[in-house]
Amino acid sequence: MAHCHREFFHSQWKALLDDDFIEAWKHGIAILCNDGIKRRFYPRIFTYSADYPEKCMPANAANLWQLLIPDQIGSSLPVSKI
Amino acid sequence: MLMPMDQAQAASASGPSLANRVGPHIRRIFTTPLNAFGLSRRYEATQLPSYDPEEEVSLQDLSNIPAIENSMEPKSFYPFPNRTAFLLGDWHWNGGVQKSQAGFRDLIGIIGRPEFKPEDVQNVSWDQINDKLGAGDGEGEWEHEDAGWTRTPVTISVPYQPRRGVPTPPKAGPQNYTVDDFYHRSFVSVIREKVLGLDQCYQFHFEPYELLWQRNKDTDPVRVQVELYTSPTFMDAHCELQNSPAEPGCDLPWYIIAMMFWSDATQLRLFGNAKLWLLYLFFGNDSKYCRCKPSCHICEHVAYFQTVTRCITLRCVQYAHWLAVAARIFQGLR
Repeated sequence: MAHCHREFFHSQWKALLDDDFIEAWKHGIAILCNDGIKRRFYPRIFTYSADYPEKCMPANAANLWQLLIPDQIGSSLPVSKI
Repeated sequence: MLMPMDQAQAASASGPSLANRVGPHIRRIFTTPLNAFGLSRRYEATQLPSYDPEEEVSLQDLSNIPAIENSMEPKSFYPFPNRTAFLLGDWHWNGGVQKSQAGFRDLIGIIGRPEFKPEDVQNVSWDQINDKLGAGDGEGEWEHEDAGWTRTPVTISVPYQPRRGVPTPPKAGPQNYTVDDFYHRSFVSVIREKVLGLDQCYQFHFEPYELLWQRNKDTDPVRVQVELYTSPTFMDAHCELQNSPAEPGCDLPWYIIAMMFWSDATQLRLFGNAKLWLLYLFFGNDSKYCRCKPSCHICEHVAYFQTVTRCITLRCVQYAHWLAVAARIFQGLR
């Protein structure tokens, strides 16, 4: 049962961290802002807050976070310190 | 709020000589002069930001103190035609199932308001309104495509054990189990929407800085931890990004979008197990005071997690269940 929970949570996060997001993580998203300046934005995940039962799930699914650490960027993510 | 930027530019005497990187953009350290509280900012950037998001911040923006001239009247009370009908409907549905003194006082309060007009509620078709209120399932606005929500089927592989005594089917092994209704929004589109939605006087911090406090000129400055965009983590991530190789042919300024997730399973009813497991997204570039203030509307809900349902559970525990039943039967026979 724990296996099913974990696999299911993994799969849902896999759907969230889609190819577009990984592409944006690595190469940024160029957006022309309303003040007329075009900027390139790189999404980074800083915190993941949850109550205990919900926290256990991502904490135990830690190998999924490898997706978030592309080699080019490094591995200084605080996400692993959930 | 600390100081206008042109003054800061003038004060950055230590800046130009402190070029710490040679590349397409040389970054320098800019320090703003102390304000009345002894606070100053230290930026590490190619130039000082042209706009200070905290310049126009007022007390009302960061607190729940209502502005006097700011009317809180919503534009629409849909499906109710007017405010009085809405208040009566709210009293009827949310006032509890039994009559009480407090409920009576609430009712008197509603019909005792100076703007109460009997004609507001005389010709209201309450049945239709109640039907509309009750018909909320499955027709939510958020399910429309332009709201950015997508439904993705999620498939997992479940180990499947046939019952004892039943011949093993030829295609035995893990079975795929698909849940169709995982609703979520694309992170990239949420970020794009957020950035494009910033108006001229936005309070979204693109450039992180160190906030320093100095009692007087003789003492060393002390780092002040206030916001995510003043934290060492943000600063490190920002510096790391600036030091990374540039995208080919790109000379745009780079910034970090700090994503902060919150996740909580919400019990929907007082009784029963109806639950929603939401994933919220805040941006660390916003001030924590705005993030704490619901009326700022800066919380994005980005996903509704599904949980493993009963049918999949039954399939998994079928084998174990049979063992348990058998044990109970034998116990009874004994």
